[in-house]
Amino acid sequence: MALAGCLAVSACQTGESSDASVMTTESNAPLRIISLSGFLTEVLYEVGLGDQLVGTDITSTYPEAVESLPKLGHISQLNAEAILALQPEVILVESRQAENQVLKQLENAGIRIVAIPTGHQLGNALQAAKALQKHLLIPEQRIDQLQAQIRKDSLQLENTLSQFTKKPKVLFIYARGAGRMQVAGNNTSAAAIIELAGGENAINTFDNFQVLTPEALVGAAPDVILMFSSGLASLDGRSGLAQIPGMSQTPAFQQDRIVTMDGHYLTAFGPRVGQAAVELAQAIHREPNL
Amino acid sequence: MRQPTIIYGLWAMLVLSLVLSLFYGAYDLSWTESWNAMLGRGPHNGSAEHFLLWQIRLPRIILAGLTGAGLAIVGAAIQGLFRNPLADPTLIGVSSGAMMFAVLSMVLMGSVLSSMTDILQQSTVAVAAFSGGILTTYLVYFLSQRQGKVYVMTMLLAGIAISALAASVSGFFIYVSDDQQLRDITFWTMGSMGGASWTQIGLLGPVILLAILTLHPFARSLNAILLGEQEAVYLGVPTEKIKARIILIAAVIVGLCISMTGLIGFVGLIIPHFLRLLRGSDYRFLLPASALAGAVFLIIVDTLARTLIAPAELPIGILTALIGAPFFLWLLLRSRQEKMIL
Repeated sequence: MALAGCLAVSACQTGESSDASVMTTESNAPLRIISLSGFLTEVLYEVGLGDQLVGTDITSTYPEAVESLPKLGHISQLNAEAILALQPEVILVESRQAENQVLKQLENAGIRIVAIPTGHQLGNALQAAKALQKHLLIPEQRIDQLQAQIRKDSLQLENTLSQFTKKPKVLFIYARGAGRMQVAGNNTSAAAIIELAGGENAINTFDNFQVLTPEALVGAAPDVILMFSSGLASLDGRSGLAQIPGMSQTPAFQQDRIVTMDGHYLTAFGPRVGQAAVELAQAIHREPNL
Repeated sequence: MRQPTIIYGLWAMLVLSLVLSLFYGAYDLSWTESWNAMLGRGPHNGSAEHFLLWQIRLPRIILAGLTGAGLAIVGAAIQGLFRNPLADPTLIGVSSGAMMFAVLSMVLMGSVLSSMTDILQQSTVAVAAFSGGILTTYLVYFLSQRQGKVYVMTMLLAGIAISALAASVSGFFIYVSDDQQLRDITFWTMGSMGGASWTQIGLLGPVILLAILTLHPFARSLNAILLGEQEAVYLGVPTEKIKARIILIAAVIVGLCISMTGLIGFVGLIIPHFLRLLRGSDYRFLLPASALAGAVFLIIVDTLARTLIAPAELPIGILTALIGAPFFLWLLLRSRQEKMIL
């Protein structure tokens, strides 16, 4: 998967580089941009282009300034006409969501659709910013700042992790109410951030998300349960968690090691992913002797 | 009201709803601006507005109209064939089959088909939904055949059983789907006219027209079948041939509509009933009137879907029942005071 992603990036870059050079000489005027990804929205603000946004999708929740922008719903259910009414010049999407009938219509209407590949690395935001730079006017200095920030976070993460010797087993539960709970397997953003934070994903027998079963829960024997804040809230907090069959048998629950973090912060792999990883690392490790 | 009056009234409403919905949308344009942009005249010559009207708004309105017409006329024909007011295209398995195949393709796409280009993936769902609808209907039809004769009652029950089976397979794949797939499936089952293109209309338009023309001569036979199948045979109605034709048409029309717009419930069931409440069960009236009323209904509902919560969009399937059901209930209660038709 990761390899395919890289190949796509390089192909994309070589294919469009000539196009991009024309772009930058064209004009310095600000563009009207729509972002259909919470991750790209955050990157855009990070490199100082936030004020060029004229609309975002429903997953764009950070920074707070996006709240005042028109919300265009979810990328699976776009309103072509309303988007045209915002008169955007560029629409940003993540590559994995780039194919969509409505997006095609908008492209035919003369709007540039820019698809940015994303991944699960610390430098994800930096790569995205560099990819965006080929299409948008992003000052080199902002890229350098972002790079420096990520390097700093990365060092801090290394320092944090060097204090710990054990790799706690962390089970990520994705909950949308008591009836619908899934756990993260391999190749998920949750597994990636757990590993980045020096933990071990408690489940390594399958890919993607699968439905949580009591037996799997007991069998995984997680040291820590990790959830989105919104996920725990959807279960009515810890009392709801206690009612999940098998939950009370897990070491995590018995030792009250339930960690919650904001969903976008934790799994978007945006500019703040290093900080999120440090925060998570401190939350999931418990080695009092050190 | 006399039948021709209603038909003319429906034609007028169709024209009116077409025009109104063409000039009404999230992209704010005045009437004169729209008109000029349509003709590519004035300050908006060849501009974004011209594109918006011709490539986004108009195809969408026409797709809504065609889908509404197709679903409603097929609904009327199926109700006549089954002599059952509760019958709708779901009964012959086409919807649940289309859903099962669509869900299957959406869930398996991630793993099996991920190497395909995305355009291929998009049409994969449509092709899967269409073939699923046709296959399931054929299975139901095949199961209810004995010695060359199709038993309508068996077909009804087989349809229910096969639909349940298909629904449980869909349910299983929904259960194991990941979050993105679940969202795609959910939106698909609520239908959408978004992304309508002239290609789709070029495909659906002739098929719907052909279906309307093919169904129209069956009106008398459907009236006869209303008396009972045996009685219709005595009257010289070729019931077996009509059954096969109607079911084939229903499967093709509903399968095509679903593959392009996702599931849109309620239209096929309610529109024919609505007209029955107005003017009784004469199929010479009911078939064309259903097509017209279905088109008007979906055009209006889709206009609301794309404007009510703009800049976001409401799934059309939510609105069809939300708007249609209260209206239908009102009609039902009102007519009960005069006479019971159902």
